[in-house]
Amino acid sequence: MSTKRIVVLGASGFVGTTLVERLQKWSGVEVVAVIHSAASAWRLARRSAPLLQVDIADRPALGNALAGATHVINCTRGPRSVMIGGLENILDACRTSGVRRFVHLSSVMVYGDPPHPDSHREDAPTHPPPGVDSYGMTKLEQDRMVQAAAATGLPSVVLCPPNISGPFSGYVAGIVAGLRNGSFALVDRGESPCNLVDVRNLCHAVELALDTEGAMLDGGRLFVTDGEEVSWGSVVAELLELTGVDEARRIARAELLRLAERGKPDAAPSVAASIRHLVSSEVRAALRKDPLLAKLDRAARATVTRLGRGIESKLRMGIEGPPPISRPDPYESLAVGLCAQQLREVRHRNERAEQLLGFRPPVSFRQSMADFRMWYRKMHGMDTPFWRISRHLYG
Amino acid sequence: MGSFRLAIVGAGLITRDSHLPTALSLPEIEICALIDPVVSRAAELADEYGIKPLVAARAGDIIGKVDGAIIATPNHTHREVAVPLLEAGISTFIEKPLATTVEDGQAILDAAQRGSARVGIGHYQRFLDAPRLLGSLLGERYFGQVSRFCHQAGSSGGWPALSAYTLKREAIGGGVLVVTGTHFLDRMLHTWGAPDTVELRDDSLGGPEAHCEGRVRYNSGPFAPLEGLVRYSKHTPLPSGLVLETERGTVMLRDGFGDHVVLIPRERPELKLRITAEPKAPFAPPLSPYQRMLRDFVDACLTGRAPEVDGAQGLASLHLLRRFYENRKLLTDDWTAVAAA
Repeated sequence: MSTKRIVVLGASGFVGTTLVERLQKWSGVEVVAVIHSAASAWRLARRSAPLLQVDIADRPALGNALAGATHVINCTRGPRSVMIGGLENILDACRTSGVRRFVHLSSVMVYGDPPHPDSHREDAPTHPPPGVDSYGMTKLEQDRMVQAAAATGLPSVVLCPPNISGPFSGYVAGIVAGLRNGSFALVDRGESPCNLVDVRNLCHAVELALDTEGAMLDGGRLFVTDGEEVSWGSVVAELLELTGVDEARRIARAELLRLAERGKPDAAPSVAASIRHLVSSEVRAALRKDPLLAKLDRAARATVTRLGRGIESKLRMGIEGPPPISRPDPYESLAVGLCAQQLREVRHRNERAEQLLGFRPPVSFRQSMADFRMWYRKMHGMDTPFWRISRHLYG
Repeated sequence: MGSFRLAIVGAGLITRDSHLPTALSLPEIEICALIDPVVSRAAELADEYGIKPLVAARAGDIIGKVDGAIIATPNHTHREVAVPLLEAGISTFIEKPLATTVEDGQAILDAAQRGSARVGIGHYQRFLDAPRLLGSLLGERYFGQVSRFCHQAGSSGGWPALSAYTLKREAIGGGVLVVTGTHFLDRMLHTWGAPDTVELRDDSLGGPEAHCEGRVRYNSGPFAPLEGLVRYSKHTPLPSGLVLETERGTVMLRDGFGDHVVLIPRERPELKLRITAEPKAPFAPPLSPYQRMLRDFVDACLTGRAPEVDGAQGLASLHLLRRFYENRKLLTDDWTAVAAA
């Protein structure tokens, strides 16, 4: 007879799958793997274990899935509406089912990008990237919802990981691809801190959170990282052998800052810019597809032409500016968002998780990277005689 | 009004995104029926496209009312849906694979024979420009002897089938080798025939495998000696395409809708030569591979010839899949062992 019924929501994701694979080895535990769709559940389905397909936006269906649950782990992701509306349903269903422990995965993105300089500790101010749909903003709102639920009696733990590494990590695989195709560049000498957590370390923290009693049940965030002082240069050094390139591309910090700034949306709407956009040739071309608007456009153009070439040129210059000149851009292929993660200067520290959960990462950074390399080499067949030809697909 | 009365059985994603819009785009086809056990799903789909076909739950309802049917239901249902239709003389175009087992595939072909009906298989890649070009170049040995090839395709996740049949091994008839691999395996059989030896390593622990690596070898026949590797994944994105080691150099064909093959000459490996074919009918309206495939099926039904990818070829694919699965070994999670040690 199971003493625990652990429901993993978002079980088909990277963390959810790893967690389910581990929990299924526990004795005296019933594990319920809840997925949203069959699309990404292949890694779990290969085990032939039963999977429950539930939309967390469907409160009655979620209630059925959580009936009798003693522990619930939330690894769900999705668009903001699902993350917020879904979590509301999850918390409500947990309370109804009398769940003994709710474990929620937050993200260091709640501290901003780059994060607040004090965010080596969890009580640092939060200032996620602006925009109601930003991931950090949504995760922060979720954290607040969990804290509110904890305050009204749902024992909750909120774990706050950085980017997640280890075998199957899409994030680390993305860095490998970036190193290979030059879309990733190392900033200066690669000394910036890189916050990572191996998926198995994160799962270990979740497992501790299922059982530990104490102060962390208030829904306060706990950082969970590999707990080592790792630099981006050392991450790249661990991955270079997978890429076929001898060394990483480089970029100066000042140059990356300039590129990152350029990519940001305009801070405030401008009436002048909107008018310029409205009368630009692109918008007018679209409007001219309507016969009536085309007629109006022709009339307007005729009026402007009657004013004389000089005035017409000035008007055009005022609206559209000088013709664009295309200059070679050495950073055109750069994935600025990924590279800009090196501008995060803070190391999030595990002290609180260590103190409250007894968390000590079982997998070292070196081990994590070695396992990732082994997994990657096997998945891509790098150690087969066919790599000599299949490597051409990676060019 | 089209002259070929078509039914579509299965109102899931592949019908919504591909079969139905393709059928509606061809003037010779009239969509007469949409069938799905969830009738509301079929009705919604008809509304979405603004058509008013017969909407029903049972495929049997279309007998006597249509000339042909597309079967786009989960793999394990192909036999039970196709056999009564074929016996009633309704030609069927079956979304790949033909069935989940050789026995089911054979039963479908037997039913087609009894009903004098045609069976076409949805291997759309056979109708793509670049694979056709490569197939003809290989057939005429343009690149000389091919000694080795590798085909791979991988993605993080797959098709979000509404019925979620991809979670069950029996419903797929295997795993990623069937869902992703059959397209290339069909092309491989078409180009080189059945290999002499096959072996498979996959990660199935009872369910559908999510990652696999198969090896084939041709020891005899006109193309021997030739060895190949196929790799498919539903959890790891892999750059998708085919690479061949040939006498003239390395030949590459990326998966997708491109129109060219690349040759990296043996003596000038710094070059990438792009090979394309002149269109045979330069002023004809371009057709998508799906349109070509469906038009081929309709034409086969109207003229009595076999479709370009017919049931016999679908059955050959099932025989090959069975050989792979009979020679499978577990692909071990070595990285987990390292961590534990």
